Amino acid sequence: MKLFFVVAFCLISVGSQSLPAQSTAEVEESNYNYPQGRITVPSWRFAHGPHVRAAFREVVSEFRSAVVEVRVDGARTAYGGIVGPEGWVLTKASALGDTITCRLADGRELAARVVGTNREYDVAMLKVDVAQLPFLSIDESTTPIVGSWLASVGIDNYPVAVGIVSVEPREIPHQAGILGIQLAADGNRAQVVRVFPGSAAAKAGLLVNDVLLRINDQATPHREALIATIRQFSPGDRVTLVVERGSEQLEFEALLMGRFPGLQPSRMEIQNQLGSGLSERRFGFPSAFQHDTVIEPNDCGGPVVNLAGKVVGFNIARSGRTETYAVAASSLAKLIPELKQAP
Amino acid sequence: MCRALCVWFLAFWVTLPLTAGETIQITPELADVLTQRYPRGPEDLRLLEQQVQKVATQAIAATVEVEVNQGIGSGVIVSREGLVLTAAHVIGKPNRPATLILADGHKLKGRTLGAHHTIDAAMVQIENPPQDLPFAPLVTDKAFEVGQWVVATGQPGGILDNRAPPVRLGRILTSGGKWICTDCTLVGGDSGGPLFNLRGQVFAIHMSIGPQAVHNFHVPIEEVRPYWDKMLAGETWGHEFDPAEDDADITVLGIASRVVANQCLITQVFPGFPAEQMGVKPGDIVISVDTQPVDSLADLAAAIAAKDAGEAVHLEVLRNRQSIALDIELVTLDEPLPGSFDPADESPEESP
Repeated sequence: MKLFFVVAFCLISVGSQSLPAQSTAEVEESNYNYPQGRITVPSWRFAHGPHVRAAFREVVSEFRSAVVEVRVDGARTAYGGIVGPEGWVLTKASALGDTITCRLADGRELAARVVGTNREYDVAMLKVDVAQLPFLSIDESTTPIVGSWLASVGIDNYPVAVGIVSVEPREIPHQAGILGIQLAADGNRAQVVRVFPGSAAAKAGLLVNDVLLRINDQATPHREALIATIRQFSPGDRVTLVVERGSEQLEFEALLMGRFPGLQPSRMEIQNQLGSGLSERRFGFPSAFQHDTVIEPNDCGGPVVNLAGKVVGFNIARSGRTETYAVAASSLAKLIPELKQAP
Repeated sequence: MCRALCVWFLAFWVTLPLTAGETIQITPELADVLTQRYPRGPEDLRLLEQQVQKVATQAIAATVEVEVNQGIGSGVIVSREGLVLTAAHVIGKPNRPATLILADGHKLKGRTLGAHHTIDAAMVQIENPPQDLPFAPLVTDKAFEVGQWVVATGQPGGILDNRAPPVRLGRILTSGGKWICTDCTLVGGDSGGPLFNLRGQVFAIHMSIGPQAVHNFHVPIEEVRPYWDKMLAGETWGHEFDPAEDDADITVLGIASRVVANQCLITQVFPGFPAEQMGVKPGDIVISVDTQPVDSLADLAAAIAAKDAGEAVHLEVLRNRQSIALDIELVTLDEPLPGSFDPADESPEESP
């Protein structure tokens, strides 16, 4: 009952502190992260609200021209950071699709192609064919300090969102991706006997009796090989399945899931989704630090900066109600040259 | 003489680490920032950040995971003798064995003391506490203000290898007397964990969450204090949390209001709720509920909370200087408000 009194009181007394609308008009409200819903308190009071974000205006002013909106088929799926003057753009790999454009702070929208991808960190290097762009310098000695402010920079005057460093960099444990098929028990070949409705396999177009030959470049000659291979991938990873169907050999692309469709989500999963959407690809990073910034999945991929005017990392996943992961500058400093050189 | 002093001095430091129980001072510069509604620029943010970093260091050291009867929650050590505050729904009953895990993974044995289930606060006693046990001071100041900055720790999702308790920053958004609501995001496993003020003092205990990221509820220490001795004595009382009651009725009108010139002004009417359907408009002033005059928001809240769904309230409002009488049937609010993390809920998963 106690829990319910809370809400009942919320509805009537939360509003007791609400102010007329003009009090919120002092700053722009673009990108306001919190659905207003039924909590009606003046926006200055939110720790990460528009007034507090406005205090970061000076902090982000030198960075926003080096940030892009990454768009797939015209819709923003991520942010990205320009990491070289020749049009190198670092972003979140799993947010990408076929037709990619980058929208700059000055309004230009440029076609981009993928040059390199690191699946472990879920980062990708894009290239736009424009020279002399402003770019971010990544200082590998910049470390995330617990309790320090972070601004997630977008292309506007104000940060997309702000928060603090919650946990120092650590390995984010892997969770196995799920394709959603049942395989023949005899195990001579990886043959499908059941495709679960709504699963990654069903969405990709797999059918009963298909035989899986390869996942990306890894051969899956038998049942165990397929299971072991799929387990290496994370939920949110896109994999190419090479399938034998009758006399044909076909290719499918599947977006792996975190659990079987139709299985009830656990209480923890439900709670983690109260407040914001979560990134599909949010587990299994070799190293990331955690911050408390509330962002949506399509706000990932861009830089987070501190009050000292340094890039602390790049947002890589919205992973729970209390957590957003970012790849630290020290990791980025190693990744960026590799990604630029990718064949 | 010198040697004796050194030994004494050393012993002092061993038993009194700097992170234990110290209230952190607030500089005059920071105090000035805190009188503002919000930080004005990088300099204000920097002063705030320096303080949050200090609070975080102390907060992490005093935060524990609390394991009782296969349930997992969080807690905070508040004395050198090993008293831990947590949530009532984490421990359930008194005299149960408990395991308390510090941020560095160190495990301590404990036993549950009393629990006040109505306000959702409880105590655990660490058995044979080590000499260098970290702990956090309790809040000394009774008053708090909406907008006040607060720091949350806990073990969301349960303790993980190589992960210290995650630190979150927020502000008090609103208060309902026996609870406060902040925008320090919480999730299952945080229940019973501490909320700190900027002096590093334990200020409240995490209780529950709602549907949005800004719905995080905590019970202030001030609400726990009157029951301190009763809880220490191992008594359990109050309404026990029962998940079956998740479906229980709660009643709402669907309005927001504030007091203007000693009048209860309706500032917002939520779509889809009875007040809207019966024609209540923003700007209406509530004069009485069931013929009882409304002088304060507490009156209004109490009158509505006391009713069941399906019952009607007789509301008298003033609109354009005219009195209008409205009979409004209350409805239930059926939003999920999940409680603590229960590992038994985790479904085993197989791949592919």
